[in-house]
Amino acid sequence: MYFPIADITINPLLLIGVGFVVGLLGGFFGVGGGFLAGPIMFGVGVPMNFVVGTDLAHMTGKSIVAARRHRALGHVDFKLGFTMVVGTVAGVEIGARIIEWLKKTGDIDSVVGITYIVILTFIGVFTAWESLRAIQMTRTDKLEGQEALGFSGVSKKIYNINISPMVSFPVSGISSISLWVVLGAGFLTGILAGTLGVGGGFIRMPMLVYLIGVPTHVAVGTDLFEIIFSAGYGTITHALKGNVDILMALVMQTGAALGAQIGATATRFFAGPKIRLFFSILPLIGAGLVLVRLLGG
Amino acid sequence: MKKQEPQLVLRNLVAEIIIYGILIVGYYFLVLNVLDDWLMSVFKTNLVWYAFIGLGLILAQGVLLDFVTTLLLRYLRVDQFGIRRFLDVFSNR
Repeated sequence: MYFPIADITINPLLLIGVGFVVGLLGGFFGVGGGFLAGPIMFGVGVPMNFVVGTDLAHMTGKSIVAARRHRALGHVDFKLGFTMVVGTVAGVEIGARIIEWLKKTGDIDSVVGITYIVILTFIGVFTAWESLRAIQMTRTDKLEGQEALGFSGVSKKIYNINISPMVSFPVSGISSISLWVVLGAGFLTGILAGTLGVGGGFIRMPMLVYLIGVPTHVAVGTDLFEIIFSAGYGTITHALKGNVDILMALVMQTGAALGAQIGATATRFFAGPKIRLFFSILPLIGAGLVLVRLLGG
Repeated sequence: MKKQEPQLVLRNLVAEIIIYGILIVGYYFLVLNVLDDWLMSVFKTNLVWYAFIGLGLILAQGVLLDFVTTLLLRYLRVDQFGIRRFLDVFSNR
């Protein structure tokens, strides 16, 4: 099929297939999937500027499907999502300015690439370690698998920070937490997302679990809800620069819709530690892809 | 659990994906080919309109596809025989 906006011919089945896989991962793990869809789209010849913009557009639509499904399952904390969005948008803007500053000062690709690899490797290794520990705890201590967490020290300390206003998030089971902590977590995610040029799903999901203390299933659903706004915002800004092929995004979304439904439904059948263990592979794949790109010049 | 159950639910899952695939291909030829020329002309003449129309289409299609997939999965009684049963069989909770 010829896509006149990006001026490229691509087999639509490939786009639908990529959408399906990314939708499946997104629905299950609460990630946008740009780390996977981006290299594939670039690999089949989509110009880089269209890769980023189009990926964000399809991510927006896919996240709607997955978030609606998670909402039906009771996995979306709207109050938390809306609160974090404020911090995230501000963080993305700061991240974009850091990128502009790096462009002027030096080798942006290496700096961003190495930062990306370090952060993603840390997230992947840490999540794998913690989830294995939590699985072990469920076996030895006979804890409820759904709520077991192998590393809860930070979130407990965060709950003790008493900077008003204090807010509660009943859906996430948080009775009292400083608003500034939640905004700060969103802000930090936004900076990383804006600097690294990703949606931020695989930074935000572990942050929600380990820092804010949100149950894994709710973290996945809330993360997807937030992606609707962050990716939607990205879609508009990229479309204004002529970097979005909407037709391509619509085709990808048809596959992603089914994948997202299956992925979101699948979370019901796995306890939190197992979801986190599977999730830990994703950042490592993302880090590996960037490493390959850096080594390949 | 009967020994053949995993094969049965796998078969149902594949059937669901095939039916959805057929519907999507039909939708794709019907709708996207109609939008093709119109979107290109908007892209060339007014990027602001293009940005907001694009986002609107993505959001609308997201809601529409969610509705279609939910309906389809319900119609196919997936809760009992399909994807959910498949996951139930193959996941170790």
